[in-house]
Amino acid sequence: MKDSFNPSIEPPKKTVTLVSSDGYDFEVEEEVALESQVIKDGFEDKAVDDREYLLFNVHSDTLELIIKYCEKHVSSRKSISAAAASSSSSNGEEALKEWDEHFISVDTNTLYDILMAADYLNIKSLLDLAIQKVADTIHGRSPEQIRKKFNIENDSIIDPWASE
Amino acid sequence: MEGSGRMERHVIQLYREIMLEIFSRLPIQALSQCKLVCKPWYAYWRSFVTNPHFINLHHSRINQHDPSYLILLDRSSNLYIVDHQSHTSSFKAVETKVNSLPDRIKLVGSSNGLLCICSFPSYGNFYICNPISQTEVLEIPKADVVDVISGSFASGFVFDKTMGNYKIVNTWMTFRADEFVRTRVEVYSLGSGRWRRIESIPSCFMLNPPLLFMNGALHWEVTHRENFETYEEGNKPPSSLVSSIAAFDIGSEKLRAFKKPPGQSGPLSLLGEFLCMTDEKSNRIDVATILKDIQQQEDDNKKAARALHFPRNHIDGVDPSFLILGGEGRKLYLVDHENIHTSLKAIDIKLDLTPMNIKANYLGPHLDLVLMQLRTHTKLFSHDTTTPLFRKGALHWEIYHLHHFNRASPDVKCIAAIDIGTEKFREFKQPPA
Repeated sequence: MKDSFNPSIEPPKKTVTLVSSDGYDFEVEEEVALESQVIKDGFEDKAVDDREYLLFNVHSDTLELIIKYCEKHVSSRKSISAAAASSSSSNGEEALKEWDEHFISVDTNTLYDILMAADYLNIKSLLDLAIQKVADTIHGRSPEQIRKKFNIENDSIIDPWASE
Repeated sequence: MEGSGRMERHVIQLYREIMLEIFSRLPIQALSQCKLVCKPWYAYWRSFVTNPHFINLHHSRINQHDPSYLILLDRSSNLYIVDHQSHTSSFKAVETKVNSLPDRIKLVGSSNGLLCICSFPSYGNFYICNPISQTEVLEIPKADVVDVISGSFASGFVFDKTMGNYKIVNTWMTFRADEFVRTRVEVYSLGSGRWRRIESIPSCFMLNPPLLFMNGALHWEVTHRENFETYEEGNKPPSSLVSSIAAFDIGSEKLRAFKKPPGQSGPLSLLGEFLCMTDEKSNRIDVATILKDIQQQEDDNKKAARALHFPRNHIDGVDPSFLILGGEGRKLYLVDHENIHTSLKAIDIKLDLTPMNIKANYLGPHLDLVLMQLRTHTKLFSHDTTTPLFRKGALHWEIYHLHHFNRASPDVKCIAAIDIGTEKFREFKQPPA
């Protein structure tokens, strides 16, 4: 919320272009793209001028969400460390947690897309967030409710260890 | 695959690694629901509960939030589970298959989430179950308990770390031709299929003692002749009787005896990982002596003496963090023994409880597997979907050899055969692929 760094002092931002599976270009700041361990690794291996990444497994709808997540985390980290440096009290971590909570409160299909994309791009914090969300969704539901929630076909599994 | 059919995505298509991560964050109740969702999830569950990495992960994640439950038994032999760490102090009855056993039951002990119960007041029938995951009840072959002097029978259920298996220990007194009693100890290792009598057990007198597990041994209070065979002070005139703490080592299966600390008259209890002598005075319980290791009792006495001020109650059971007092007014008192003055919590259990029937335990995921292994009293695991085929006078079906849960080796597929004529069981290695 209060990422109040002055853009005029910042050096000109380097950008990277991410291309979604359905062919849309997303131009993002380099540090945002580097939230993905896969892009980071690729970045270190590749020639510097290669600034376009084709993400065959990530649809534009999902990619937009992923970028939103990474941008938020990069800017929050900055404001948290800035607050720490000036030793002013900050509830940045709390606020980010709340933001995460809100961010991941999506329908099951979107959650699935985010999970797969976070895994594919290897964004650990997002993958953790999505996995925890799936676990929370399962928790407290009966097998039938889980099937319904995740659109799983009932293949009439019977518990071989239950007597009767 | 990608791009098309975006509406038909299923969570079951997630990679194994991700499913492992998801499952490892679920408490055991939710986990046992998951295995019933669909066949792929069942397969995941089955492979995870045998996976040491998963077990460790689950333990570290879930144990922090979900460490233990109290298991209670009322006079009508109904089991209840109390989540004593939740703020609501709720308790609920569990529908266990235990409830349908013919006998009345009594709690023997719990270990790693497996609960051992026995018939009561008749002796010798033992059952093992996992009350949380509600898998089947395992019936133990009837123990050969004979000539019991009334009020002397006691049993315990523990995990033997040295051997990596679970053991039930029974001890009781029988009459002897000469003037003193004879003490019997029998051990049943889960999976062995038979009870073993432990020989050369010195005579000791006991009154329905609880068997308390600490430092790899079951402890209880006894009275015996001073020349108890393994008693440190050696031969004394055979006439005098002394009060001691008997310790039956689970690994070596040897019985030893130790002197009681002087000046303690109250019953022996367990407080977390410690044995303690409790001294019940008019309206309070003094936890005066805490014995971490009986041989080092002198040191421990000094640092651990303290008193608990309570309405008079019995010490009934204990879990790693709480001393549990029960009895009066059908309330259960939980005491944080690290911090006895600040936290006393009363749970209104509204149950007709008998004091001895409280146990606390963490109920973990691998227990279903242990039950599976024990199901046939061998380490065999029969595949659920195969139908036995009848060939050459024998029924054949596919089985898996399941190794112990903390071993990383994969299951070995075999063919099992039971000969109909001889009723003998054989197994064959399956040709690869």
